[in-house]
Amino acid sequence: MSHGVEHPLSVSYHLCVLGDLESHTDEDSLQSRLSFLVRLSGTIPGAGLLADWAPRATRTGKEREGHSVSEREDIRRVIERAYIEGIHQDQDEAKVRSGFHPDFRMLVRQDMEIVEVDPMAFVQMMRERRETNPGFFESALSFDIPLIDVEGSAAVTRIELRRGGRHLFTDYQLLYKFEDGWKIVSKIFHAHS
Amino acid sequence: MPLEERLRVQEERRIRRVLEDVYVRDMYMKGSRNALSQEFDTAFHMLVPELDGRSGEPIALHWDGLTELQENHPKAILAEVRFEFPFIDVVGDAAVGRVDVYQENVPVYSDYVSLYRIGGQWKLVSKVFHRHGTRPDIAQVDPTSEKDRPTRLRHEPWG
Repeated sequence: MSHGVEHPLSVSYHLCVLGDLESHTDEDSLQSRLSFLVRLSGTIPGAGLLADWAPRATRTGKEREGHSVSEREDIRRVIERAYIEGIHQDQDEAKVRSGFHPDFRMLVRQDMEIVEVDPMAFVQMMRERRETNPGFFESALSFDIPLIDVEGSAAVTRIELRRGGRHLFTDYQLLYKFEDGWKIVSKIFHAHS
Repeated sequence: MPLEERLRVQEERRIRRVLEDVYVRDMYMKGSRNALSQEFDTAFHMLVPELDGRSGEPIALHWDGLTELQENHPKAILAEVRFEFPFIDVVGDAAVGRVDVYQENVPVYSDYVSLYRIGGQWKLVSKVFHRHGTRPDIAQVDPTSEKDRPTRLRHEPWG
């Protein structure tokens, strides 16, 4: 199942400086090994269809049971509202606060160093990007969440971001479940182009 | 095997070596935070959820107590500890891995570790974890309990 969305927005990171870019997309060897993974897509109103995207995550150990579907659904909703809508679509601080822990840090590679970006700096970065390049944000954004792995109160996700059919970023986000629900606490990413 | 698949498998193996040979040793086996391996980036933090100052952080964090434990309760240290690596997921220069820790076949911790490839070398940059069960000897908080649901997050530098 792969539903998708198209958003009148775009994504780009000023701070993204990556070295040799590799796109490891083996699309057929993994399907059979991914029954434990959730393959989800965004469902934001007004969405169109996302080009089919095959997950390429690999699991090398035993498959585990017991991951709650509801927990994964909760995580998907957090990512959709706080990250996709809050960061990329609306640059809406309230939406961002709803799903990002205040101590969240995006770890950004800059040459040989890692720069930490907090949630509100992330929002501001996207606002500036929109101001300087509004046309970029006119293109439709689509996303897919091919990996959600939950163990108790900790989780990891992988998010694929595309714009205009172009694969932009792969995100890995770490989450904890707090008193007020799942919160994104850390993020790293790979820029595809 | 297509080139992209071969490269991906190669990187997975490299990451697995980092997790098996470096992460496990430095995180769970060493008796000191000092002399960390270079595979730990200087930006590495373990993210520790807390409730009223209490947390379920790994026992290896309690360095002061570890020495006492080694001297007076060696069996506690020598007890069988087993590590499993259920999956590694890598895309380009970013990756995550899961590490499950068992003690006497009882699950103790599940770690999610994120890595960046920097200068051609995979570096550990962040970690979250889940502590299984309720073992008061190693932690005070049961994060699966509603009443013990953490409210804060602490960035624990390593080294």
